[in-house]
Amino acid sequence: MFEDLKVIDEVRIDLTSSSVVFKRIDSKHLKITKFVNSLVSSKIVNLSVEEAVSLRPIPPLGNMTNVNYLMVRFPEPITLLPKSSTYLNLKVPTNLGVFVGDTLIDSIPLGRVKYALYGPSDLGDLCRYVDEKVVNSTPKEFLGDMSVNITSAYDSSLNLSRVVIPIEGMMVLLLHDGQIKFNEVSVRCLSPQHVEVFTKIKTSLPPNEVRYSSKARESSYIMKFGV
Amino acid sequence: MPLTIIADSLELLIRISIALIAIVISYYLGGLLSNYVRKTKVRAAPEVIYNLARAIKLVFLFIGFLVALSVVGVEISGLLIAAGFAGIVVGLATQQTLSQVFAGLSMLVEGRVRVGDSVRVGDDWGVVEAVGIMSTQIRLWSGEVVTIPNSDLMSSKIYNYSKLIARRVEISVGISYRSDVSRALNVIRTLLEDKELVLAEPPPTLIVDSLDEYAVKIRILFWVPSQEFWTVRREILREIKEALEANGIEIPFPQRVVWLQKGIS
Repeated sequence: MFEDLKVIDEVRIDLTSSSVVFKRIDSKHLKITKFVNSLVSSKIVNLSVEEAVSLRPIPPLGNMTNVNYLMVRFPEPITLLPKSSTYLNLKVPTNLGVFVGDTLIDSIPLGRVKYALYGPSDLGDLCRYVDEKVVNSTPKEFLGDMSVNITSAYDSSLNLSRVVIPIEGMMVLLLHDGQIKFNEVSVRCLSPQHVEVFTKIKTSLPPNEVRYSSKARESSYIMKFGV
Repeated sequence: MPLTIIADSLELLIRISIALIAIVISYYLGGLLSNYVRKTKVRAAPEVIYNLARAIKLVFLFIGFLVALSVVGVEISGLLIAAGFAGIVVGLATQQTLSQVFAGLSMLVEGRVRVGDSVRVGDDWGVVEAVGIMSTQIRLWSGEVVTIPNSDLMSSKIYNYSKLIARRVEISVGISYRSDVSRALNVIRTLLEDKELVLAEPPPTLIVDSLDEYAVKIRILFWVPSQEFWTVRREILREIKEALEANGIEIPFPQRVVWLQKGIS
């Protein structure tokens, strides 16, 4: 699935709720057609026969609308005791990134796509949404493991039911055994109206285990409209 | 005597030439700076930059005229006092125009509407094409351009849809009294959950709203990305009808039951 393709004639890749077709038009042009939820879109890329199209896992970007954030709703709310910390392991769907060299030219969702509004309708942010239903409807091989380190600096107990992560700070790591991992996310709760979310681009995985890692940069997001 | 006249005339000619040069230079400098402002990549709305560039040009030209007048020998301080009085008179006479100018400046600073915003002002729906000092132009969805004085715009209710990230869609559907309401709610809920552009949060809300004469009214409320409002609303309306029909849930016509009693002579 996540491989390099040299398209000579036509290659079709069927995914659960979508598919993508690479068709050679001439020696210098390749047509990419994607079928997602009965919507068809296509584009022509100037790519010679010698050049390869790379299929890689990337963070869950928007499909029919652009989003910069990912909202993950936990299966159950987590009650954080005052001045405590905990770890959480989450499953997060990935997208299929179509690359030519290092350039991302298309993104195809590998599972069900939903969005959520975080905050008020004029000041908030539109996010790609992940909850238990979305995870359950995504094939396991396209789900990545994400560990979330949560600390509370709040004086009282605090219920955390969701987290908003900046997508530009999410790094997808494809391991040699086919597993997908995300970089660690840190959540620091100062109050219910001020929760800081950080992403770190360093990973504890040994470099020889990683087959591919997507580009990301350290980012942060402040959840000020409730948790 | 003639020599003095010639010298005076020559001096006046030189002064007029210098004054003209001052005007030309100020006009040129104003234009140069105005163009620079227009082309500068700054984080400001296009209408703000446009109006600022115009103001710079006018200020430079005004300064040029003042310099020119002082070169020619006109007493500027007196002129400014006279201009002050004239300003009061003109201000009173052009009260409405000035109120529009100030409304325009206020709107530019406040940023209530910007070029490209999708707005509704009264019955006028459309896209803002230009925000000037005096008036604002809106291109209606029907294609016509309506020019609204800024003072009117300031006192109107402006619905700016471009400021919204998401909007709520509200649909009302009636089902017959013979149909299963719970089933209808489930069919609609499943349909909404399956649609990518119907937001998961805030979650869709379905309410049995009223028991009307011929139908049970269900109110459906859900959120969508604002730029997809009409597309999703249109699609969902069609799909709700199809889904209800496919599940044997009747959307009734207005009807009345008439009882005819036999045996009345």
